[in-house]
Amino acid sequence: MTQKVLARFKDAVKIEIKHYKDVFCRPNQDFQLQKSAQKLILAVKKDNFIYKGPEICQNFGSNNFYYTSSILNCIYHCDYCYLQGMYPSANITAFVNIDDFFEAVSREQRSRSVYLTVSYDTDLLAFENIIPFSSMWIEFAKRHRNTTIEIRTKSANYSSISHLDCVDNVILAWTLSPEAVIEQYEKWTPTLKARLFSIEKALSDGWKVRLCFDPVIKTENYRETYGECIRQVFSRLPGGKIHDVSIGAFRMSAEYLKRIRKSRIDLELVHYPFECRNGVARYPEALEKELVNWVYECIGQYIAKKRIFL
Amino acid sequence: MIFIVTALHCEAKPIIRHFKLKKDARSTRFDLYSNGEIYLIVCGTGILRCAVATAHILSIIPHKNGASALNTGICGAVSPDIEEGTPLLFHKIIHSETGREYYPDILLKHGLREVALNSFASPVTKEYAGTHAFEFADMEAAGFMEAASMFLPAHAIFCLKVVSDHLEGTRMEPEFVTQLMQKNLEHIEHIVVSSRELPGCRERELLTSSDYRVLELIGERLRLTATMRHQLKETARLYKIRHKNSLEGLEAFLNLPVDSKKEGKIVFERIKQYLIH
Ligand code: SF4
Repeated sequence: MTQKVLARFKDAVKIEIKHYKDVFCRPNQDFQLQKSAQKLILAVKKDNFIYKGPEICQNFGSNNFYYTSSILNCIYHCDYCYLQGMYPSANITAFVNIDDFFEAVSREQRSRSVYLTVSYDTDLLAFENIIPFSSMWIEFAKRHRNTTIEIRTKSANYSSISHLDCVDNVILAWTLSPEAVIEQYEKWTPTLKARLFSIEKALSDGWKVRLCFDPVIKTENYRETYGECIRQVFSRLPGGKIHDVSIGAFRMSAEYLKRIRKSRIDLELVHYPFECRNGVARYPEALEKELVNWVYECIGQYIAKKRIFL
Repeated sequence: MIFIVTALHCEAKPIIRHFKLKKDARSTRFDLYSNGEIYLIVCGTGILRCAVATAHILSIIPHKNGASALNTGICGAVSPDIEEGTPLLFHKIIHSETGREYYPDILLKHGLREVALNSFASPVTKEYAGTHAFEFADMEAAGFMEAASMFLPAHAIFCLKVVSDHLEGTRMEPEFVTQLMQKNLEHIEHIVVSSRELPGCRERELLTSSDYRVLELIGERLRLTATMRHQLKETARLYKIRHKNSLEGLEAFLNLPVDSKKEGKIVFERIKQYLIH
């Protein structure tokens, strides 16, 4: 794997390091500056290959909800991304010993079914042309029917996995936002149109597709913005073919938000007067309900409500 | 502002001349030169001396976010293919005795060759290089890195050296060293100029002195507690970030009659609502 990746970057300066944390966890790094000149760290992870899913995330009804991070950090730069507050560095770390991750999941799912989200702390599909982890997880899922895998993305990179056979226990999940939100808050990500184009293809190839309206952002005219976006989405996608939908308003660990606020003084979104409830910064309760309900009602016109997760 | 550390006077000479640095009396321990924006300290040979001088200059000269540091001078190359006079920018510095590794975070664009450097406590020879794995050697950089990393962000620390020899162990004439440095001044200047353009931490002060005045007046009139005053300042700061407006609108609250702490609290809540929406 390492050699393959290195071959892709023939002209890159290569620095040998002992442990990825020697670079990734250097003191005094500037996440925002690094974001404009991201480096790639190839590392071996020694332990903790999978984690129990956190409360803050939707578990889609599964008690055995896990996540795994074979890549840390992302090529996109969303204003609301919690990674900015979680990691000391914006450099991308890829763990090349993916087989150890497979082994850990394989052990976990022997006695019970497991729901595993693999595009956590990154956008795995966006990175597929550099490191094909999405394909590898799909192949893994094909051999391990007890594991349901979610690959969440904002990319329009379905073409990089379209050659694979459709696997029933894999859910391709696309995060969707109104074009205006994408433009303002989801820097370097593909447009809504481009994402929809990818989704259309995935659906027609028979993949299970999840749509995630998460995070919903409070914009000045969010009713029109989200209403129009949802109309646009379902004018392109057949609601009946969508596996399910998840909705969640913006929320983030209060600790991470505090750090982001310090480094992104210019960013209106993170300086919204959120409320802190149980260590999580979120919109005031009434507003949060209003945002989620509005999106829920709009989507409910196209999809059976029992397939919408809040 | 940039802090330059060199081991020898002959390494520093062209830099002092080029940037018109003057002797600065603020250090009595080391020779210090400055022009108010660029500070150069001559530390003498050795890892420890370099660490002490770097920590010294970064402690005695007040600096803000956005300051950077550069260790420059000469180094030895193992391979005879690397010509004398070749400038190198180091992305990894290894303290050969402790094994500790340092990684400057190179974010600025440059046209230099990037390599790793080993810092030794005493001069190393060709023979030594034959039995140990390293490519470039010096006697200061690890000390510089150790000290500079305590004061500055990783992207603001640079180590640029010029190859002066191939570890033959022959004495080097100071004029020769000065010449090598002179020829590479453009690279040093590039670091000095570009490091200034790297934005420092963007935590700027948003509230102006007149904003502070209004907030203080409100605090007094409403008889707010210290915690409430802090909350008021924080909410006002967030308001300015979101609306990019001045806090003039708050002055209206100064005219409201407040006769008790209780009334003050009520007005305080109204101000918070005003700032939040
Ligand atoms: S796509 Fe997801 S992981 Fe990537 S920057 Fe945006 S929020 Fe963060």
